[in-house]
Amino acid sequence: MKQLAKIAACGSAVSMLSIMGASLSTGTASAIALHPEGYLQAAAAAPPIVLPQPAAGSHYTIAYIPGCTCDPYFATETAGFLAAAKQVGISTIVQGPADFNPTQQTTVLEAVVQKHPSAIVINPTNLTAMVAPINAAIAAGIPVMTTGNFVDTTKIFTAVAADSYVGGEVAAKALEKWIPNGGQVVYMDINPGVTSLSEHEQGFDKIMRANKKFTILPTLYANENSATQAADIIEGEITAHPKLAGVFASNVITAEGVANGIVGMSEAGKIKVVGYDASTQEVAALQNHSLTGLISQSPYTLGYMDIANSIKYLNGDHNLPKMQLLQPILIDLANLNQPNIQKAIYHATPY
Amino acid sequence: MTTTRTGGALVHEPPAAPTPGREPGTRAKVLRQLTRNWVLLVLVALIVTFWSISGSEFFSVPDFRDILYNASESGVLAAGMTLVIIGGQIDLSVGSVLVFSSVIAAKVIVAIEGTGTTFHHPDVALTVGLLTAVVVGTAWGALNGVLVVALKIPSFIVTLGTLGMAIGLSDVITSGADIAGLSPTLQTAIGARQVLGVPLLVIITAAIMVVAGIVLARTCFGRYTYAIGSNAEAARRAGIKVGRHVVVLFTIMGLLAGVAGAMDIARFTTTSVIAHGADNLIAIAAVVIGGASLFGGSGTMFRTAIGVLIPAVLTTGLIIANVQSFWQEVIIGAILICAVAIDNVKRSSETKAG
Repeated sequence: MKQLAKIAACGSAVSMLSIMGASLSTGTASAIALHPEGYLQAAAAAPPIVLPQPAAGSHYTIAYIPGCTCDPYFATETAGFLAAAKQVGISTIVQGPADFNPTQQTTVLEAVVQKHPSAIVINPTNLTAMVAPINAAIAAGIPVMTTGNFVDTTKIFTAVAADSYVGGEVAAKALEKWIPNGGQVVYMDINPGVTSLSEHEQGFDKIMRANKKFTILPTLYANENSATQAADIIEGEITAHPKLAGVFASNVITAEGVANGIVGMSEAGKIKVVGYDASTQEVAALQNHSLTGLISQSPYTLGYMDIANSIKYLNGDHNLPKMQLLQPILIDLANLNQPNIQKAIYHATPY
Repeated sequence: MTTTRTGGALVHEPPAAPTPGREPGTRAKVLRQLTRNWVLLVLVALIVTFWSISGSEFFSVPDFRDILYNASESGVLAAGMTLVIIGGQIDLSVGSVLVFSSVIAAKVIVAIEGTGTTFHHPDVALTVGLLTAVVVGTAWGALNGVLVVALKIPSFIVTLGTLGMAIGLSDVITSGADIAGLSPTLQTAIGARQVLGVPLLVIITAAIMVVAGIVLARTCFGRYTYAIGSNAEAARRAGIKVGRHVVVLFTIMGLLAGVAGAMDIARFTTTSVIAHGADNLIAIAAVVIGGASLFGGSGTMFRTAIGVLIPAVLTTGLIIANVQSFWQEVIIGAILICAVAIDNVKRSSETKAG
């Protein structure tokens, strides 16, 4: 059993990454089960998740509570959620806190419970703090599943998320492909000790260490959480290590900063950079060659999985896998214009 | 300056407006009380509106309890902020001090009883840990006060500085990752406990607001606070030790931020380093919606309590009324501005009438 449960980095909001402080308890971790359907469909990204029909004569209302209304990642998941709901003709409630924080999210969750939806899908803002409010909602008779992030309770009917460990592996494999002769690579993170981020790093490390052509430089930290700082740091790194061949940036902020720094040093295209997440700003950087690849967590697909799993559960399938991990998708200039890849980009306006 | 008791709550009349001339009639008196407490009418109107829109969903007993429970931390901060603002000061550091206090408390609790599945001395650990939060918060408050008074730096600047320092040090201590896995006893014994159906945290908040309200309305300390906020120089000439009083105000604010920090970890059994960035503005907004002037010298604890409840009721009510999330911020912001505007109009008309 892997010591850590897969805690996916969620969305591009860096703030949310920094609160994923602890690893999941072993109770939840033992429930890891890969969802073959999810993996296949994300890897091929071709047909959308198959949506089951609601049981005859029933009418479902499914609520979605994002981590905040402040982030294109959640806006994209909301778009997928609403599109899937429309396709099978079920009602929805979408309400989220303005900021990514458990106090605000608890208020929203409690108010949504008062509306008695058939099921609630929530992206928990904190592994520990959201346990009590989520258990209270379940105790009030409303089944709850989580998406994107995790919560330390076994009472939810399932958890779906992108696999951040695999995300790190995908990034490393992309750099291997783009830097055939090998060289120095570096990982840029926000803070040490943030679980989801270190999962990217673990996946990245595993692949890179196995390849003798690559040297991994000490991890960089842009701990002020700003793109400007990340740009400064990468410029210093390039000066110190002129042979730097590849960078893996852990989230939207660091990726945008690194892209900016690389342009500043006139190294665009020479140094290969993979950025986590797929904001429209990161896509622009891809197009001007300051980023070489993006790793999307496919929030749109997750929105479909939210609806599909809720319907399955409400139709009476109470044996859903406790955890369903989606394989992150690599986006580069070669596949950018494919329709399924376009769906993996975090478009900011779903409504 | 007079203090009257209205509907069981303490209401302080602004000291500047003793009405000259003959006593107004009973009807005029009632009317005056009503307009003075128009924020209360707004709160009642909101509740009635949401009730009629949503039928039975809004304001069931559990819903009401949730609203109070979720507002309990901001209530404690707003109580302290009322004192600080009436005294003519401002404290931007409350959210950071709350986080710092909760981080130190969590460290202490983990140090005493360890983390994981077995907890050895929950009672000792929790008592010492939570008291530590209060002590640490008090220390930050005292630091704020001393810096404001001794260095004669405006409180806006001092507390902007300590805002950064307290949150930065919290990050240094935790490396940016929250301290989780505290004993669940925290929740069962305090954070989620209900006494006669009322959450303990709500009772604590109510007690703090009542005590602070009495101090403000009925004691010399309160009177000095209004005097200093209205005109610090005049207060000094009247023999009030202004510097010492301001230090005490900030120290009380820090103490209450520490209490809120203790409440936060008791409720969630984890620290939430990033979650309190807007707490200062939430507390200030509550005080201002309650009609206090940011220039000091006016405001009451009762109206601050309503100022805490209006955004809380709105948030829950708007969700139940199916208003899109983005609009909720807009509406709460608009109410803030309306509150101040109406108070301004009312004040200037009162001045003219006087």
